[in-house]
Order: sequence, then C-alpha cells, then structure tokens
Amino acid sequence: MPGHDRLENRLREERAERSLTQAELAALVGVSRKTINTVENGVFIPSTVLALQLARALGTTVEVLFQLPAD
Amino acid sequence: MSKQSLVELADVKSRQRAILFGFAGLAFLIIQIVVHPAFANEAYAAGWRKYSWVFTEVLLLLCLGGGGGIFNPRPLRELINDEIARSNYRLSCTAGFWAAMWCAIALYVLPPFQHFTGLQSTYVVVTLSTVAAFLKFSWLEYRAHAGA
Repeated sequence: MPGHDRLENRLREERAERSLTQAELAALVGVSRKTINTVENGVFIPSTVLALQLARALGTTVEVLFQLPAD
Repeated sequence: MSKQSLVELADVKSRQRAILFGFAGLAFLIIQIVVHPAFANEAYAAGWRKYSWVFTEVLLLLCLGGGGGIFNPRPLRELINDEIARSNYRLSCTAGFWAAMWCAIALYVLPPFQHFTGLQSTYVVVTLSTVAAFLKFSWLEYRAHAGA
C-alpha cells in the first residue's frame, strides 16, 4: 500500500522530562511497553484515543506530543 | 499485581509470542514441505496425515486470531493484545490475503501447476497464506519490541 502518513512526535522528550520509563508510562496509559516504543520510534501512528490518553498521562496536549511534518 | 509489573510481564510474554509464532510458522512450512499430505497417494492423503494438517491449520489460525495465551489472566491478555498488536494482526492478515491471492493466481496460470487437483490447490494456498500471516505477525511484533 503506497504512502503511509508520517507523524512526528515528542513523546520520548516529554516522557524523559518527567523522568518516566517506557514501562511506567505504559502502566499509566494502560498499554504495553512495545506500544510506547513503536510510537516513540515513529513506527506506529496511535489512534486518537491513545494519543489523548498519552497526552493526559503526561499532562500536556496532543498538539505538543504530535505534529505533522513540515513540508 | 501492580500495573507496572503487569506491563513488564506482558512485555516478556509478548516477546515470547513473537519468537514462538515465527518458529511455529517456519516449523509448519518445513513439515508441510517434508510431509505434503495432499500430494501423497489417495489412501495416504485421506488418512491421519490429512487430518493432522487440518488440525494444525485450525490451531494456528485460532492462535493468530485470538493472540494465543488463553490461560493468561484477562488483564494480561488485554495488554499483550493492545492497539499495536491488533494493528500488527490486521497487517499480518493483509499479508496472508495477498499471499493467498498471488499463490492462487500462480497455481491457475503457470503450466507446472495445471495438473493440481482442487484439494491440492487448496492445500497449497491455505498453507502458504497461513505461513505468510504468521511470519509477518512475528516480524512486526519482534520489530515493535526492538529498542524497548
């Protein structure tokens, strides 16, 4: 299937600022560590629900965590 | 069990599943290359080997569809089969679908396969598409853990 959409994210930076490990953030959100890992690495684009849950767990907004790549 | 230890246990189980599914897919393929019951003589093909293929095939499909680990507690299963695992499952089903389509077209068009019976063609298509789905799922899950 051609042209997967790309999404930049600051999840790793925001998590590190709060001194959280991937496992700790995963436990806060209620997902597995591999989900956090794949989102951070840009391998997986999360659903809207998961993006909102991540933002809430980190006390920030979805717009801060995820951005469309600049043209 | 705390949420974090549940996450860590899910991580371990999920890694094990990724490796196990890869081995299961490869082992199934190798066994079918060696045994290939649908291509043996009629009495042989109708015997236990034919049904062992059906049994293994159904077992593999149930494992892929359900994510395996049926004896794990529900919260652990939900963590193992979370959003990324469900996405990987859909991608692996897509891979299985395309493997089945291309395999069926090859069987229909290419001269060396023209003499295959319906049973033999079904056997080849179902076996190869299942293996493709398993290996794709295994690789996607393994990649998801890389660097975690």
